[in-house]
Amino acid sequence: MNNSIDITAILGQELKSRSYVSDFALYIKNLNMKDVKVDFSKVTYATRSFIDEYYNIFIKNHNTLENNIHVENINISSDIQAIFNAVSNTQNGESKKRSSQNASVVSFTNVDDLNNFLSTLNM
Amino acid sequence: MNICFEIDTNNNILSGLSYTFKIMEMIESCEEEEFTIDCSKTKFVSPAFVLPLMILVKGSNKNISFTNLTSYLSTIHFGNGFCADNIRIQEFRAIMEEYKRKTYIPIINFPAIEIKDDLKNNILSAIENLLVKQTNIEKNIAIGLKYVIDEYVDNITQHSKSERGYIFAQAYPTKHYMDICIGDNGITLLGSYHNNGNENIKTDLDAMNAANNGISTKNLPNAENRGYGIFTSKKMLIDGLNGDFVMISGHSMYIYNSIIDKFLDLPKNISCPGTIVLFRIPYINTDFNYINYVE
Repeated sequence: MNNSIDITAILGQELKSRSYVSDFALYIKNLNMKDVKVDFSKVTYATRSFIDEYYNIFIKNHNTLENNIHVENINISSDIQAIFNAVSNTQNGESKKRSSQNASVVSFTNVDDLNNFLSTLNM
Repeated sequence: MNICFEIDTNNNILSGLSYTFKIMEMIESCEEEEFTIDCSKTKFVSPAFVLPLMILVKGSNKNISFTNLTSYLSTIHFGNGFCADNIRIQEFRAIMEEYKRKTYIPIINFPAIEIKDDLKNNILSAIENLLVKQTNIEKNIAIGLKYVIDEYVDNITQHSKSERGYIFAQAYPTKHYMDICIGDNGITLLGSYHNNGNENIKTDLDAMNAANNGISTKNLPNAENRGYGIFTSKKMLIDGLNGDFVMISGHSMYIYNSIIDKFLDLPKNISCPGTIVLFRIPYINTDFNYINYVE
């Protein structure tokens, strides 16, 4: 029995939403197979949020879904793999790089002062 | 009460917002309940004016309507946006073809609830493809553009509790950039943190700071790995494309580009009923590769 599943046949070629991952997990569970290969070869694009959710549900627990379904991910492009790597590298509560820790705060009590301030910013 | 402003926004992405703030201050500080905004004197209006005004008006407790829309404002469906889920997706794509040779898209009013993710993503893909055709941008920039849009729109679905989202874009071909505005009428960033049990974040400014420092609103065991979507998008936009980023939610605002990094505590009579983000995306960096900015 062919246990290879083309993920794009279920979710489309662009993997955008976190919610898609739980749908796909349900699909896999309902296949009643113990070993599944998820084929990424036709994926053209994925957001980090989708990959993060996928990682948490499909990969984090030693590539094992509920009911001991083992999942192997195959044919992942280098771009998508880079996102998987980024997600993997930020697991376990590792500290995040934060872009705005040194940003200053400016408070305004009226719109004229606010607009005067905005007009001075070079954007 | 009738309100008529001469609106002529300039190249500064913040210029449109200033007009919006002025109009909303006038409305919110007045005791009257009924207002008509006369748009006959609008000249050049940017996404930073159009969508924030629409969302702030929708969220106001006052009864506010628009009149004397200019041809441009009518064409972009100013007021409520083009409700894209009342028609078939094929019909939506066909209608969008009409905009292929223009430099803007209409304001798209899309479903934001999770159960309609398929429809929402189809609508977004059609919009993204249209923007790519309009600007003739290279594939490397196009993927970055999609990434920025998709991460923010998924955040609306995941966090805002808003049933609807809005997106509007205008390209400036001679200047080689486009302005994109995305917004919702949801529970604001602060409301999202509170909704997920995070009471340590007490003000809109706290919430704005937390959201832009990668602190997830989701109070989940694995939430430590959330919050990177916005972080990555901003990194891509500012470090990769040298763009501009503005976010408004509740009484707070955040402005970020390669030289400015500021949180603003807005006047008490200015409040955004959901969350609005504005991007200025230059599309001339041929070396840009979105994957270099994913963390």
